[in-house]
Amino acid sequence: MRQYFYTCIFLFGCVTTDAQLFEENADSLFKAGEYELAAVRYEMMVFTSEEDEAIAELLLKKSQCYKALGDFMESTKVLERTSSQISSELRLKVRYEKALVYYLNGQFQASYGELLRLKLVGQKLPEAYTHLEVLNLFAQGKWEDAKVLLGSDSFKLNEAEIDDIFAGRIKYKNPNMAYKLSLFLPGVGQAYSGYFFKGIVSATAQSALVGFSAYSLYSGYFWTGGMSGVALFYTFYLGGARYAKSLAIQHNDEIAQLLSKRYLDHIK
Amino acid sequence: MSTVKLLTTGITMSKRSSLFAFFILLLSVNMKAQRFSEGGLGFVKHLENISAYKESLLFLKKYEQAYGESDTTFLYQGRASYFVKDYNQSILYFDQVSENDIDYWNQAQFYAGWQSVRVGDLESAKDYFQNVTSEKSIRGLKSLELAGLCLLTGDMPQYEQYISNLANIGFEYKTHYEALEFVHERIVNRKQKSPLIAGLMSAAIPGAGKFYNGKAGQGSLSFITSAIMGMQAYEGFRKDGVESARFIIFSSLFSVFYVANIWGSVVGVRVDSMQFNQENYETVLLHMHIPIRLRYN
Repeated sequence: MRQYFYTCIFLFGCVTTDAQLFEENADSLFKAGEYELAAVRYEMMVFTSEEDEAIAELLLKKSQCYKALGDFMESTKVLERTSSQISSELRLKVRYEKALVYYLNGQFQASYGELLRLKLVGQKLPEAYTHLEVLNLFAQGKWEDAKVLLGSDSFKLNEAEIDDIFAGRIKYKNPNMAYKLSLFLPGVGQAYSGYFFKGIVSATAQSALVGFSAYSLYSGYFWTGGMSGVALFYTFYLGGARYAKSLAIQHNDEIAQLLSKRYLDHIK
Repeated sequence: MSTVKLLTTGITMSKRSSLFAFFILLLSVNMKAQRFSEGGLGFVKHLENISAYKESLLFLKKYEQAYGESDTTFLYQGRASYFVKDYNQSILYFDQVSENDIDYWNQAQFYAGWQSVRVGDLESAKDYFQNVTSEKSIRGLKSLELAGLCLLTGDMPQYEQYISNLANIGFEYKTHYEALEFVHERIVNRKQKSPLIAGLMSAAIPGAGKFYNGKAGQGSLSFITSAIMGMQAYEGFRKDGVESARFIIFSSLFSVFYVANIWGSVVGVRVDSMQFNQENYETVLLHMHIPIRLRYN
């Protein structure tokens, strides 16, 4: 009987030696800033764990490693591996972390979705996550919603502070609107997107082409007027509209970044 | 640590049991020297399953530092590098796998061979594929890889030999060698177009050279643009005369289009044959790749 006991101890030793590859444990590796090694170390512990609860705990820590490395994509992938059969307390932690990492990875809709789900369960968001919600609304271009949210009780901001954040011309420009406006009248879409000078240039170039076509056709140069004038105008016309659309998107991004920066400065 | 525990306690044990323990110890040491202990290998496979190839590489480096290099560490580092598409590094790892374990050796040769084709080193690829042992279970795969390689190097007699071989032993690779046969027929039946004729035809009628090259759409477009420029030049000539600015501008534009079109037709023939080769290369590479992945996954 005894030798079986010792054999068991020995075999156990054989299997676990791999875990002793690393002198330090995962947490101290993480503290020492060895995030890549810590990630491997956590994964080794995930591999030997069998309980969903413990695994989720470890994956949460592993995702921190990738977050610290700035690899948010990998971080989201790690978090997505957590099982849903875990205690509600841990599930909340995972949700919070997902919301944060999705935001950092630029997946604003996914991040906002996680926050909404947290709210639906009747959970009051901790302070850090209410900030995340505001930042998500900024990034998605939902600035009016953000303004309403900032006015609610959970934010201790007064009217003046909110106006401070939303100072200047803060208006969402609809990219499709810009496109249609430029189709209606060349250059107007660019001006609508907030780039007045670019609108003028576009309008001038296109009216010059129209003028050239009209003059050529009037003087009887049908080929020149038709092909060099009208065809070229048509190309500029459609290109200008697409450009107006991309300018609107660019404008929205700039404003979103400006708002986020002002907000972060404010809560500092 | 556990081994020390065993040795010290082993003294108090009966003779038979200590002998038993000694054999286990010997076995495990031997196992570690040649292969991974089960836990380590399991973990590396787990890392492959969750696509954490960089972690796998890091773990194996650490493992090598602790227990030394082995065929297994080389093989799995090679695999991880292959998965992150670091083909040259992967080949270097596979090169170090020794012939001690036939299965590892063959796997390394297949992967190194395919990756050599992928990076364009067909000479080494041939060596790798020929290094594969002629075991019954992989004879078909070996012939398939060599057949694909011959197709790429243009060694058709050799190719036909491998293919006739495959018809007997490689029925499980039917879809793949049929795909190779398809490419082979395409290559054999292709009529080589002449750049000179294409150029001359485009000089006579703009765009005709592209029609000859089988590009009807491009040909029509070239004809239309040249015609538009030509008509505008003609309009200038008819209304304002030879010395008018309008005629000079449009006729120069027409000349540019006309010459560019001839040049384009000549280059088009060459681009076309490059495209043809590229398509064949992709197809052959794909059908060399899939069976390897299925065999060694």
